[in-house]
Amino acid sequence: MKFGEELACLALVLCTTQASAAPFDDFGVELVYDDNLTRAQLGRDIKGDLALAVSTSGGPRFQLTDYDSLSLKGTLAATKYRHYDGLDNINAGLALGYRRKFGLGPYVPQFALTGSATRLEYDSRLRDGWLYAAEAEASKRVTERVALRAFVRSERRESDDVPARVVPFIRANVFDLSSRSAGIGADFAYDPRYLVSLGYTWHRGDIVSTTQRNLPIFLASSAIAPDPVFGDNTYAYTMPARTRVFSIGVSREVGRQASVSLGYEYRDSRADGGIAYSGNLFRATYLYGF
Amino acid sequence: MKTRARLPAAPRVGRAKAAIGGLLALLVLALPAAPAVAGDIRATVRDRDGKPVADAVVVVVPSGGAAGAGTPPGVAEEDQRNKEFVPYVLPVQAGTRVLFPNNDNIRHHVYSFSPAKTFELPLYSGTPTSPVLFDKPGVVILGCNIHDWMVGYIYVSESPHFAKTGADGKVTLGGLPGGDYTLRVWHPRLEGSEQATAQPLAVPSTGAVDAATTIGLTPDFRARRAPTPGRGGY
Ligand SMILES: [Cu+2]
Repeated sequence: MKFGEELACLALVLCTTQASAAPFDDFGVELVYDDNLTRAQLGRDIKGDLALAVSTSGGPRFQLTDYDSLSLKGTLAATKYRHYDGLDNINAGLALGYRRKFGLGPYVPQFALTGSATRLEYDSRLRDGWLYAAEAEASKRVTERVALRAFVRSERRESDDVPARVVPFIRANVFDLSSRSAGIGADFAYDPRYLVSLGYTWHRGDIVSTTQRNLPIFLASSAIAPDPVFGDNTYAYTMPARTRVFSIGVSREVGRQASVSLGYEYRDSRADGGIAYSGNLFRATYLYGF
Repeated sequence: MKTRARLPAAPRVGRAKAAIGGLLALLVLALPAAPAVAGDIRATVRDRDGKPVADAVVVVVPSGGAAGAGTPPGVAEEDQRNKEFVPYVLPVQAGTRVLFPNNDNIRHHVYSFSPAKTFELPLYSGTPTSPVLFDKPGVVILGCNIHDWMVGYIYVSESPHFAKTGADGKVTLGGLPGGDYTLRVWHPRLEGSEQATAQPLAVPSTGAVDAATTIGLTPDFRARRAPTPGRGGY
């Protein structure tokens, strides 16, 4: 089945489940434009594209005590790119979460721990694999209009197979990645229906940059493999980097259970040897919570 | 749920008249008109933009006197349906016991910190067997500790004469003994105090009097139910 058809089928399944509302927690549709999908530094390598993603999640939640709960959540998401078909993907994950509320009411601090495993199925074999993540988050609604949160996250991505080496002494498993990140965020309700969210995240870990042959990147990389998704002569380079992500979004409530949101993300990464790239991401999202 | 305050039946002169027949009829003709029995208040609540305000509680108290006896308070219900309190506003007379049936297939944990009634119904499904007594006049804000967006209000009235406006901002309080009253309005988003809405009102012996109230509303910044991108919801 072609990827477009798969996506259409998934969208149909998701829409019907929305009507019956049974085991799902939420359903979302998102349009994302990323102006630097290649995580590239030079103009000739920078490629942007628009993607449409549909997603849903759901699963049982077990209230252990009045203040603690465990949840098992399945997630399913499909993304279709306008130009770079090789990036089209369907991923399915399972997350185990523990949440604790330190008292009664909406203003008490909350703490959440999540561990997840997600299967990544791309149209390009190179990117197929598993993503494992662990996250701890603390949050608190401070006033009726302001909520704050902070998190730490650790991620490991393992690809299914290893392509043949391009350079004998450099590994080719470019999508075997690991990273750690920490972030802070704030929500501000400037109107009862509008929520403005700000976030800042620090990442330390591997990034993948896809470019034409490039000596400084070559010298900084820990893995190299041909990446035909972005052209015939392009290579994916893995390198350790420090990345900062700044995000801002505004979300409007539609009825009690849905929201439409616009978001912007700026990210910049720096790696050894003066390598730096930056990118901008724009999102338009519809979410429905059951 | 009560939307119209009930009063004990006023003395029915007509019934006696039927029983005693012509003799009484003569007597009635000979006497000055019998004292008036009951009137209605047709209340309308609007906001400053002139829009009708739903879920406003209209309370009337006889001027300079006790609230008067109404029907003895009974048992009311505050449901939980689709992870919301239903009704959003429940007006009851002081002394009413309220049941909190959970009509969802998940558990709720209902609580209130309000001085008029502090209570907690830890995690439960179905209907808790014993109702909660609301014997102190005031406003009780309800929350659910599992679903922070769930908010409901129980307005505990010292007076038996109260009712809640509908979507058109209107409500009729019927069968009030004629006389002078004070009318007050309360709403979950009322700007200022309920006392500041007090207005004197003369209720006629028969027929109805109109009472229009304009109230200011504050924004409703309760926790949001709708999901936000990048955030795991409930
Ligand atoms: Cu609840």
